[in-house]
Amino acid sequence: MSQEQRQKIVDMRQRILNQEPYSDEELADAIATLRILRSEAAAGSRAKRAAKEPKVVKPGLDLNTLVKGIKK
Amino acid sequence: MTELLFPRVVDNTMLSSFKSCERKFFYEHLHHLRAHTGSIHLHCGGAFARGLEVARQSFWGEGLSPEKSLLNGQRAIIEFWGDYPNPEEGHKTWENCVLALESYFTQYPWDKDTLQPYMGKSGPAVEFSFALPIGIDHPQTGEPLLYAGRYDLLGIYQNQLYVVDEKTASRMGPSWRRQWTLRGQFTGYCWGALEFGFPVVGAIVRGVSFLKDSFGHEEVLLARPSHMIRDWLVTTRQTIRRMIDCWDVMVDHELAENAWTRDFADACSAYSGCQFQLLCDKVEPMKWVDSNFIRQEWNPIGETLDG
Repeated sequence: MSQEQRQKIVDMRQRILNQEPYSDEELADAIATLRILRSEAAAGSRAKRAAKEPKVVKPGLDLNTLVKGIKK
Repeated sequence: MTELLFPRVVDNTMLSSFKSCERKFFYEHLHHLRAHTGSIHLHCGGAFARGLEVARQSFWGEGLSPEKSLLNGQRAIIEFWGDYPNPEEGHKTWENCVLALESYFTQYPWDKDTLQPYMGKSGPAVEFSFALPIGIDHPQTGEPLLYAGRYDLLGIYQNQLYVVDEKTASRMGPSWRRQWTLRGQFTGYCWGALEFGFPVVGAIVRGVSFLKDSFGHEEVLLARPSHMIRDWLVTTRQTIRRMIDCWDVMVDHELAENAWTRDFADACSAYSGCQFQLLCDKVEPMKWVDSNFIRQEWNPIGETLDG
């Protein structure tokens, strides 16, 4: 997320709160940026979690046992 | 002692406050005290409800496109949120509130939603409010006391009429769903709708959880048969009479807070701790009010009123 994109969101909020003219196109564009920001943050935190929590499968546990465990 | 007035209009928030702790009701709804900081949960819920109201009015009331209706709702959220600060903990931020609205309409897509607004003479029944005599007189004026409610939507689901309320949550699960089973808030809404001649059969609660990476959606359908509504009415009148008993003790014995008992139990720690804890351990609590609280009157049928 660039500084320019962050600034776009700050400006959007400020202009709406100041009741300055702010078109639907500008609003849609700023909200699209907000959406990107959130999905980038989500991807970042998923990657962090994946790095921290490597999947450990107990020796001797087969796939059927795992599936049964999940179903319970 | 400040000249106090017993509320002319009572709602579920006031009943809950009184039932959890009489003293809390005394501070909250007779003195109209609020902590300076307010509550992010109430603010976020109010902003989301406002966004839904505007979006629904745009789509079903004005016939605008889904895209334009959504933008109108999102703009309304930003305006409602104002300069209220984002919380330091949790995900109920203004940005997420804006995005939660589009997630809601992705989950429940406009005219494809199985729940559609009831269309009255003046358009869709969104943000429906009522105030009706509850059958008890005001202890000061002798006029009928009113019971009020305000719900998000009167909706039609499978050809039956329901009151609908949306809730924002930090997380949802089985206990989130279970908490509404007997909840008087919705029984009161059904009573109000029935009194106005709308044959509602129950309530639908839709929850939106603000998670770290996404939004969750839950829907609970609650039946409210006539016996539940009768029981609610009897219980509500009993609770209001108990409020008036406390009021009479306060007036007759020239007491102030001491006419209202303290819970000294779960109510003190509920919802991250009662905001009035800092008064309850003081010898002269009212001396601590001005530096720690603002006065803001709760209006059961709309926004808060500055007192």
